[in-house]
This record gives sequence, C-alpha cells and structure tokens, in this order.
Amino acid sequence: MNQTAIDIAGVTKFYGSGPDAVRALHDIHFQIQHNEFFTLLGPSGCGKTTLLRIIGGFEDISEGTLRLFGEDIQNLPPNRRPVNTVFQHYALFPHMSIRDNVGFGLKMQGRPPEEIRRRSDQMLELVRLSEYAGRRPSQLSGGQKQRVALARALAPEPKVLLLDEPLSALDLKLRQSMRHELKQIREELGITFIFVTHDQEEALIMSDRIAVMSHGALQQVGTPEEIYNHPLNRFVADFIGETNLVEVQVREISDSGATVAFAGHTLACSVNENQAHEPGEIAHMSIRPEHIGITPGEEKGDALRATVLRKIFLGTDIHVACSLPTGEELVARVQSTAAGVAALSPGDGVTLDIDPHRIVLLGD
Amino acid sequence: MARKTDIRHYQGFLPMTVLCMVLLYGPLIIVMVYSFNDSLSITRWGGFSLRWYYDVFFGLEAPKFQKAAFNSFSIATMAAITSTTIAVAAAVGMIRGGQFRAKTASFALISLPLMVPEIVTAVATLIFFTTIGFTAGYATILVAHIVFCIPFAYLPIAARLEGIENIYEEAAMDLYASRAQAFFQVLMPLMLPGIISGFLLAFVISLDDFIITNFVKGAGIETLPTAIFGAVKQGIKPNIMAISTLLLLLSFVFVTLSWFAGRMGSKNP
Ligand SMILES: Nc1ncnc2c1ncn2[C@@H]1O[C@H](COP(=O)(O)OP(=O)(O)OP(=O)(O)O)[C@@H](O)[C@H]1O
Ligand SMILES: [Mg+2]
Repeated sequence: MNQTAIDIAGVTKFYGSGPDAVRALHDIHFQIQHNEFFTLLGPSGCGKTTLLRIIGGFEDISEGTLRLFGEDIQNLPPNRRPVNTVFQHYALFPHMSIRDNVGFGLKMQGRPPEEIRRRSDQMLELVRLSEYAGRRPSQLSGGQKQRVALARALAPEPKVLLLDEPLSALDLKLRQSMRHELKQIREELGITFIFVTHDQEEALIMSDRIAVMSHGALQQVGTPEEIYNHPLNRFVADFIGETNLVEVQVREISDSGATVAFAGHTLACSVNENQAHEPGEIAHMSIRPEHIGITPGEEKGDALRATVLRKIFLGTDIHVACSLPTGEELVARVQSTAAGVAALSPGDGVTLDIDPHRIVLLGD
Repeated sequence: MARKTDIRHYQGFLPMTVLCMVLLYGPLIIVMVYSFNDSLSITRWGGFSLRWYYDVFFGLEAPKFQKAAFNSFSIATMAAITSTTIAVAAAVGMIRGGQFRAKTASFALISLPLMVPEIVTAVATLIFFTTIGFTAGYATILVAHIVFCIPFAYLPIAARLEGIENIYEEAAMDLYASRAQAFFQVLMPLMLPGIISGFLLAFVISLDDFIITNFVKGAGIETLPTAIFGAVKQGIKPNIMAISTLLLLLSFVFVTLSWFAGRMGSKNP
C-alpha cells in the first residue's frame, strides 16, 4: 500500500506583506507516503514549524498547493482536517484533568461518553499513564506531559500526526527512551508521522525518510542512509553527521563516477544523480571521518601521507586530526583498539587510506 | 545594594507616609467609629451602641433606604453582567484580533471613561439622553452605568487574556473544536479569574457611583449614594454613618475578592 498521504507542491510562505514581508518557505516540494515516519530536519529558523503549521491549518499558503490523500485541504480550517498536532510546549489544557485532556478531541467529534471514556483510558494505557488520569497537567513531569500530549493527539485517530520538536524539552535519557516509544507507537497504530527536529542524530535514528531544510528551502529528501551517504550538497553533508569538506578539482567524469585531484593525489569518487560537473571545475567533496583509515608510519609510493595534529578520545573511537603536506586538515575516526593508533602522538607521520566508494562529490 | 536607594531611607519618608495615611483613612475611621456612637451628636462620644444600625434597617427612614438599596444592587448586578460581557468581547477582539487599523484608537476609546472627568461624562450623558428623549429613571441609570463600567471590567480581563498564549485555542481547534467551542471550553475557563475580577470591580464601581447617577436619574428614583446625599443635605445623622460603614465594608469585600480572583491560578495559567 503506497498511498500518498501528504503532497506539498511549490509551497511558498510569506509572513506579513509589502516590503517587510518575511519569506519563511520557498518553493517546497515533497510527498509523504501513508504510514511513513517522515522528519523535517534543519537548523533553527529554517521554517520547520511554519511548514508544520501549514499542514495543521494554522497558517495559510502564499503560493502552492497542499493535498491530503489527494484532496486539496488548503481551505479547510484546522478543526476539519484529520490531522492532529503534538505541540512543542504540549499546550495541555491546564483546567482539565489528564483524562479530559485526552478525551477532548473525541468530545468535540461528538462521540458518545462511554466511548470517550473507554478510548481515553486506552490511550493513557498506551502511554503508560493510567494512574495519572485524575491529575492536572501542572502535577506532571515534563516527560509525562509530553506523553499526555501524544495520547491526546492520537485519541481521535488522526490520519496524520504532526510532532513539533516534542522531545527537545526532555533530558537525554528520557529523550532516548521516548524516541524508542514513539517509533513503537507509530508502528502499532500504523499512521503517518511528520516529525520536526533540529537534532540530526534523532532524525537518523527515527525516520523512514528525512527532508533537510535550510533558510526556508528544501535541500534534500531521502532515507537516512541516502542522506548520510549521498548528501547532495555542502549544507547537507555538513549538517548531517561529521564530515571533512574539502576542495577538489574535477579531472574526469564517467558513468560510474569521477576522478578528482586532491592534495596532489588522484581519487576516485561517486557522483550523485542529476548532478552536472565539468572536468577542470573546482568542487567540494565530503569524506566522512570513519571512511578514512590510518596506518602509522609513512609508506612509500603514492599513498596519502600526513602528520598527526591531535587526538581526541571518544570511548570506543578516537578522532585523529591530521594535516596533509599541502596544508589541508582531515579528521579520521578510528576504533581505539586499531593497531598502533593508541600509540600515536602529535607530530607522528601516518598514511591515510580513503575508501573511494564512500566519498561523494557535492553540488553547491 | 538596595539599602541606599531604598525609598524608606529618603528624608521625610515617614512624615509623608503618616500624613497620607491620616488624610486618606482618618475620615473613614472616624465615620466607622461614630457609627457605633450611642448619641445623636456626630461629634461627641456617648458610648457604644448598635442603635444606628437598627435605625437603618427598621427606623423611620428605613423604607426609603431599602428602596434605594434595591435599586443600587439590581442596577449594579445588571450593569456588571452586561459590561463584563461587552468587556470580554472587546478584550478578545483587541488581543486576539491581530493587527488591525485603529487598534490604538479602539483601546483609547475603551479606556476613555477612565480619563475623562466624571462630571463631563455625566453632563454629556444627560444631554444625550435629553436629546434622544429617553425618559429619565431606572433605565437611564442602568444604561449609563453599563457604559462607564466597561473600562473597569475590561482592564483585568484584558490583562488576563494577554497572559494566555494562543496555543491553547490552537490545540482546541486542532482537536476538532469549532471557534465557539474553543472559546467556551478552553479560552473562557482560562480567562475566568480575570472575568470574575472584572465583574466584581464593575459591580463596586456601579454600586457607589454618585455623580453620573445624580445627573441622569431624574426625580423620584434614588440609589444608595444619591439617597445618602439627599439625607445628608438635611443634616448629618449618625444613621448615615452606619450606612456608609456598611457600604464601605461591602466595597472592601468586593475589591478584596476581585484582587484574589485576579491572582487566582496565575502561577499555572
Ligand atoms: N508569525 C511570524 N511572523 C513573522 N515571521 C515569522 C513568524 N513565524 C516565523 N517567522 C519567521 O519565519 C522563519 C521560520 O520560522 P519557523 O518558526 O518556521 O522556524 P523553525 O525552523 O521552526 O525554527 P526552530 O527550530 O527555532 O523552532 C524564521 O525566520 C522566523 O523568524
Ligand atoms: Mg520551530
């Protein structure tokens, strides 16, 4: 069943009007499949909340179209959209008990009281807060409020659930367990989740697909693997995970990839589809630290030689920053148990080994 | 730190405070004390007694005061209910209505009666009623009170509403509430402390208004303040002090309630 839940086409959003209008979104295109865990990822101010509020019905679109299961919903007010939101600051109704909060949507839908009661209790069980049903929101902890907000949004059985940085107010431990719970709940209920976060790690862990945004524009949409391994441009490569962004000169372009000149060496690398490069042009390349191998000692031949600058211990891994004879700096991430790595100290000569299948030539 | 700049260390702070306190509260205390005076004189103490309170309720002038009290309370109740309702609508429009033209002008218009000297309002209201041929009496008092109570009801309600983020209404609408449902089920309960506070304030303001009432009331109808004024013109009897003390007590209770209502739940909005 590969049904399109949300179809966003050419959406542009201006706040205000006239000369001091702010463009919050620019020509956004993507589709979200039914039953997908879809994440909007980007730095603060890039327009994630704006896009979510447009889907929820709290902001209107300046240009473009928004479809929900094929139906144009632009003119439907929020209360007529089968979409519910878990708000960033929960927005639980302070004057109602937890049970009434969870049952609010059902009550507004005009469901019979027994059903409201049964379903609210069922939802509270799902988020494991049954014994708190009679309390007020002010008597709950942050994590508990977050779960009530989730139960409240899920109770009316929306087709799509919008979550605006729901985990950002929680401490690390709680956040990790909530990530797990959210994923599990989504799989149990089988509905579409649109999740907003600025935390790339969270996005990679939780999502089926990720849309990376920056300055109101869409940078790339893809699975976590695609985004991580084949970033389309410098912004995505830099924002997702750690990477070495280096300048290279393109030598040759072929069907299978390209060869580039980097630090006096020729490297083979892959090129993303639909990305045009010309021989001779200066481009950027992303090399993930974990795709650089280190061998102590300077080998002969045309191996990439470097000098250790510093070493940072990270537990199972070690970051080794090296400088190349041509001045570039590369960071490699190797296992702490790898042969000879523990003994490295600044100033030592090493040989670097870059995995050609893992480096990507980037667009702008 | 605060010690040097603390206002209590300014020269003359104590005498000023004492002077203000005496001027403000001295007369009130005298009225309260002498309302328990067992003597016809209003200046000489003749021992403690409740005779003037008895006189207020059962004496010769009792029917007159009872009639006036009934008018005062019924007008205050209706004026407070109506002006509070209007004030709620005004507050929602002003604070939730986004940016609209003449917003500042609207606010000025709402709070104008607070700034215009009451006598001017009184004269203007009287002229207005005479011009349109509205017969003076109970209804004119009521209409005038509704109008000048609005800003008093508006201020605490608007203050409360300003402190309520609109995410609650958005959450309600997101959960299938219509605009009306979002208002009555979510926004109104959250505004309730402000609404109660505004209502009580409007009630007290209406209850003890004299100037406007006196202008628009016409002959043959009295409220408590105008009845008291009428009685005083024929010489101050201690029963006036008893009535005044009762009114003072009532105002005090209402203002206190209003204050508490305004603070209610403000820690966890
Ligand atoms: N009501 C508004 N009026 C004017 N500009 C706005 C309004 N809301 C948001 N903006 C602007 O639109 C841009 C996008 O804001 P948005 O809230 O969508 O960002 P975000 O990606 O959710 O950021 P964050 O991660 O900080 O929540 C920002 O530059 C912001 O200043
Ligand atoms: Mg946001």
